[in-house]
Amino acid sequence: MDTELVRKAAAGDSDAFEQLVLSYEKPIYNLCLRMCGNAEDAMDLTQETFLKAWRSLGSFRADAAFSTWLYRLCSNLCIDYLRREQKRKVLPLHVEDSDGDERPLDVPDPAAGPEERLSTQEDRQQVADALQSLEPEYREALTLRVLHDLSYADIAAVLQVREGTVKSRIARAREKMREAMQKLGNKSTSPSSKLTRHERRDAP
Amino acid sequence: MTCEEALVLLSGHLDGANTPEEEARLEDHLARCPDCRRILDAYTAMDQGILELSEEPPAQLHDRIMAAVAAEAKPRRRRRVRPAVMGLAAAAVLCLALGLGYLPRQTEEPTQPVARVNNTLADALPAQEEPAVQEAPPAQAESPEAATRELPSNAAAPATFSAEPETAVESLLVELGDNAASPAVETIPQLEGQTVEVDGACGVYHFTLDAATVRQIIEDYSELYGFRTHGDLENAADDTPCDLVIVCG
Repeated sequence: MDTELVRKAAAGDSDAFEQLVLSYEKPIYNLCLRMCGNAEDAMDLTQETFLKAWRSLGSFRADAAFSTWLYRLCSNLCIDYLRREQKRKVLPLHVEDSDGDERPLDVPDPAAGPEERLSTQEDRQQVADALQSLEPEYREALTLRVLHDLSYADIAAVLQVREGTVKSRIARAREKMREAMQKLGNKSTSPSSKLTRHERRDAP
Repeated sequence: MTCEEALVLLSGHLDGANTPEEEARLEDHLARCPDCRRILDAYTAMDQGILELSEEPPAQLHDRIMAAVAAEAKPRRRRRVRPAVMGLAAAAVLCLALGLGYLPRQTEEPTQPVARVNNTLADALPAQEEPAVQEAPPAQAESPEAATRELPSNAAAPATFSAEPETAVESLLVELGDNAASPAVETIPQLEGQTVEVDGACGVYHFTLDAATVRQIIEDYSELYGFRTHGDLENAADDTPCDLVIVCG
């Protein structure tokens, strides 16, 4: 399991470390993606996370959970990145108009027909935009809870706050996101939208 | 229960984090409040939407990561950029002050860990001084051994972190970060081009800067990382030498 791999990797076994990378690269990448909002930077941050982990494994305490430690490294790097990029200000809500603005995330759904594909794509984009519009503290807590399925206790350890803080932060994050979804949902039912109501999945 | 109170419980409900009593109160409220029922539906749909944001990492990411790892040497325990500014004995004092059991060496040989010392400097210092001098190879640079001999046996004297003669100024030390989290050294602008001593086995980076710079670094990073100050950093003159220790998370 993790413990044995970590022990070997800490001793310099890069094959063991690669097993750890395989286990965690997807969740780490997705955390970075949600925090920084684009694939290129997410890849850089993911690489940086694992590189830093590789360098620091020697000082990793065996009694702590490796996953928590790794998420914390990642979280710190993402926050540093956001500070440097000065993206702490709330991103403006926007809606793709009928001309089709640039979408940061490409979401092809080969199984769906053209109308369905549009509807799924736009809904997905709405969720992504609403999440991106949250301040980093809220975005991070909600992502770790819902996307990564971390418990409140684990999130508290990653973010180094009390569990009570995690609970209230996530509740606030959900409410802010719901409001953001409403704003985006209202805009997209304007006449310029290509989608008719009945083609959309039931969005909040 | 107000709807505002219910919102927190709605969130807790979705996360399985409510107590049975909270669940009962929530159920009670929902039975009477269609607005909150609608909000619960909205939250549920949002959760599902967030789950669907999950992506596979780009295909090249794994190889990029492993290539970067391969490009690093194996976790090195020694990396000297330049000869350490701190003398051997001063570095020993530093490690003891931090509760670490390491004596940094001037060579690339693997170090012999000494027993962790948790007692005061006064107790520890005389005991450590001897082995440090004896085990150092004869080809050692003169300054570390000179520094060792200069170290007063009265360990109550302030430790010096430079080759300058002892002054009455109390030495300053800041530890930034802990085993849990620490800033990425490479990303701190004030540290670019600095002499760095890396004690890889301890996971500790040592820098010597001036108080003004260290104060600025603390200001930038104290929100994110824990730090401990030894000595009166706040009131020190801007150009007072100050050691910065970053403990690798």
